[in-house]
Amino acid sequence: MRDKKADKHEKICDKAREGRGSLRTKIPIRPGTCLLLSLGIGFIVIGAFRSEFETILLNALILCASCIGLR
Amino acid sequence: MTSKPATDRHKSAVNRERAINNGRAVSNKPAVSNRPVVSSRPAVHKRTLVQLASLVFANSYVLSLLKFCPAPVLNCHACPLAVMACPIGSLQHFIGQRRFPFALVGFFTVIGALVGRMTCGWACPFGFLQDLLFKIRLGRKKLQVKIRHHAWEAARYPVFVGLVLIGAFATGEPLFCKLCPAGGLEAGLPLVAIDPSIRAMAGTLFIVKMAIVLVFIVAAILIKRPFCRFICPLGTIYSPFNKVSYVRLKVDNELCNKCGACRAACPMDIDPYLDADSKGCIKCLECTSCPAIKVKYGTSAE
Repeated sequence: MRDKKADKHEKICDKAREGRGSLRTKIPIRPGTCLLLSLGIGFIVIGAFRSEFETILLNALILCASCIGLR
Repeated sequence: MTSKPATDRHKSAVNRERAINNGRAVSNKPAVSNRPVVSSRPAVHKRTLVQLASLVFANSYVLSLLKFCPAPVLNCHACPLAVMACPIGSLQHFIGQRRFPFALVGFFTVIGALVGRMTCGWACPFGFLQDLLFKIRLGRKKLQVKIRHHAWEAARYPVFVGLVLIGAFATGEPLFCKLCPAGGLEAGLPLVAIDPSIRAMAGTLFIVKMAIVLVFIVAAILIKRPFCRFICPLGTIYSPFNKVSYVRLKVDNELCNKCGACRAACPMDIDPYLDADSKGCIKCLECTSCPAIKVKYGTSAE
């Protein structure tokens, strides 16, 4: 009885080792990178709702005296 | 039977690499010395082409609609041909208005998480200019001033905190832009040359900017990428992401014999074999000409 149970467990473990059901082998991206990416995308979405891209556009379109070096 | 020592393995691997690059047959003769043998591989030429394409794209004014989007590199938006917004100029604008720049922080995080400082090495027009300037030879031998002390490279942090963050917050003006050599070169010079009304307004600040531009041009001939190493605030923002980004470098310690070839090839003058993903690394991949250093994507090494 005990041997049967052990065999069954071994079969399941082998399947997992082959890659079926093991996400870690399928997605080669680290959790830290994934977290940063989602955080960054979240911030961009918040920025878009706060119309920050319009502010960036307006700032970029004006002739910047500091960049040119005007008095 | 004992296995080959790591030094011999490194030498034979480097020899094989050199033979492949020269189009010769593979020789099993050991290397004569430990002199740097990192030769130019297609990746290096590819980098120059990508840098050139990025310079043209960032200053082509073809897609002017993209000015709402910050560029992933330091490229002045006051340049008459600029396509995208300068991320540092925009950041100072938000800080000057006492607003938290959500979109910019998200943008920096996404770029940093994906490639770290790779944009500095592959896409920055000002970095490309410095790379070209460093190729200038004064006389037969390349005159080079080596700055090994990393304390100098820490100068980026006071510049970022003092000028970009505190300076912009306190004065409400983009203080870094007033001294930025990239802005002086890309916006100041062409606009003052083209427009007589702007030329009439150019005063002491313009002369100071031009002096800074001149200092950096001379420095870039003698020192590898001085602006990127000692000043650049965008590089300062991206540098902490180097260790967690999707694209990273991996040193095979069994193959590496610390010959210094990677250091000689590095445009940032760092030691990739000591810390491949150090904060100074711009992931230009020039050091990957050495078989001991490989690019690692995510969790897998290639």
